[in-house]
Amino acid sequence: MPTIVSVDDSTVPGEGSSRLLLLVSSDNKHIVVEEDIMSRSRFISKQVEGFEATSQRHAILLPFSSFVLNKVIEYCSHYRGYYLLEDDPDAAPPGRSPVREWDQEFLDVDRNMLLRIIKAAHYLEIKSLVGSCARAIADMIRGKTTEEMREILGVENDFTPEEEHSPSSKCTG
Amino acid sequence: GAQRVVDIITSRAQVTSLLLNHSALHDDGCEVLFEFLCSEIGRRHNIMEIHLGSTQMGDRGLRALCRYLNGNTTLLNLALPNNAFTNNTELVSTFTDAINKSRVCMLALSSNSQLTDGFFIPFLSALMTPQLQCLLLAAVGLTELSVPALIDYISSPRSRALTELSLNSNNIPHTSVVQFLEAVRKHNYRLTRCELYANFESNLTPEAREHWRADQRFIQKLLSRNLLLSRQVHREAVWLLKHARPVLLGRTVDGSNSPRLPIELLVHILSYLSPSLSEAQCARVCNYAGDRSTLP
Repeated sequence: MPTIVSVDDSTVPGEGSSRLLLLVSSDNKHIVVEEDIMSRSRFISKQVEGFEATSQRHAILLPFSSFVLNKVIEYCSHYRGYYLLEDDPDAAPPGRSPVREWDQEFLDVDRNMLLRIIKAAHYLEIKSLVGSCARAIADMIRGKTTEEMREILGVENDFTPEEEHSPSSKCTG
Repeated sequence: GAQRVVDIITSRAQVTSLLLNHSALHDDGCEVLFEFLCSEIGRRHNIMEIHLGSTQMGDRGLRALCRYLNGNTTLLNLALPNNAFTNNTELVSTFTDAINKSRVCMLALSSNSQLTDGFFIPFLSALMTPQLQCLLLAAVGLTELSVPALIDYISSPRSRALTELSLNSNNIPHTSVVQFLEAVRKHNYRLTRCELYANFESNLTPEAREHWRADQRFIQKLLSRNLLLSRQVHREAVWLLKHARPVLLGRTVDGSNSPRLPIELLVHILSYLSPSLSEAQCARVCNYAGDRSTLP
């Protein structure tokens, strides 16, 4: 669960047509972003609804670094005002995300960064970004050996040495 | 005659097929046979196949068969063509219930022209065995009255295993055939063999004949689609399983740089490797892949 701390009104100047939110990353960087931009995140939307219920503004502490958070904000800024079916909570689940050219360029980052982005998108409940990252990661592991797949996804072999040499565990390779 | 069959079965260590077509068992013979098969000695034989075509089996014989079928886990193929049982409502219900509680994969009721819609409307409406792969209903007097029940059956998950359906030599008119084909197009992706030959009078006009030819071409296209999809699903399921095993049977760890991904994200990523599979199919494959007890 996120930690929510109270902030002064002066920290979050939210009087315009689109109010501002204060997001605090795990490395304690304060990032001010327009609420409209982050409305694609169902997690943030729910937090904002909570603020309205209590008539208090808060900063939202997020469990990932400012570097990752900035990438997510970049994604949300690009698609500001766009309708993406995956992010519509009222639409039927659309299945897998379609390929979007801009996403492919945006996600042309190293493996660890990609895993961090998908984890952050999952936390923030941005389904379109989760889908695009999942597609990119799937392309990375397609046709790879067992060891390579495990390395890419940060999965450790859970078999004991005895199990590793049994006929059953060989089926996993 | 039935007692002779029982004696032969008893004299053998194991009997798996009973091919008794044209044996004139009648009701009495069927009762003796199935009473024996229900007995402790009879149940020692793992009968997988019973053919009772043209045995003049009537309602009493079919009831005896239902008692044997109820909860039977060994019988796979059951052929009852050209017999004498009727479309008695209570008997249809008993028979359908027995089929639903069995593991029968192939059921042949062809050439029982005395049955007609009165038997098949309640039968198809209540049929829900997940095992049935082949249903042969040729020359059973089906008319357009049975078509809604047939459409409902092939459109619902009740027919999820059905790959083969024979409806030859019935009295299904062209308009009902069109409705049936439309239902297959929209809702059924499992049938890979479906025959609808000889459902028209011999003195068709050239125009009507062309309609039937068009129907045949259309159904061949639908069956090709289903065959292609089923092969694709099979191929992608195996491909997904191959990738999912090492990922889901391992333990995610926090490396120095790479974060630990929750299992639902791993499954979501893996689902992109098999785009033809539905979410439910992906989930089933991943559940299987992540279960150590499924390792051979």
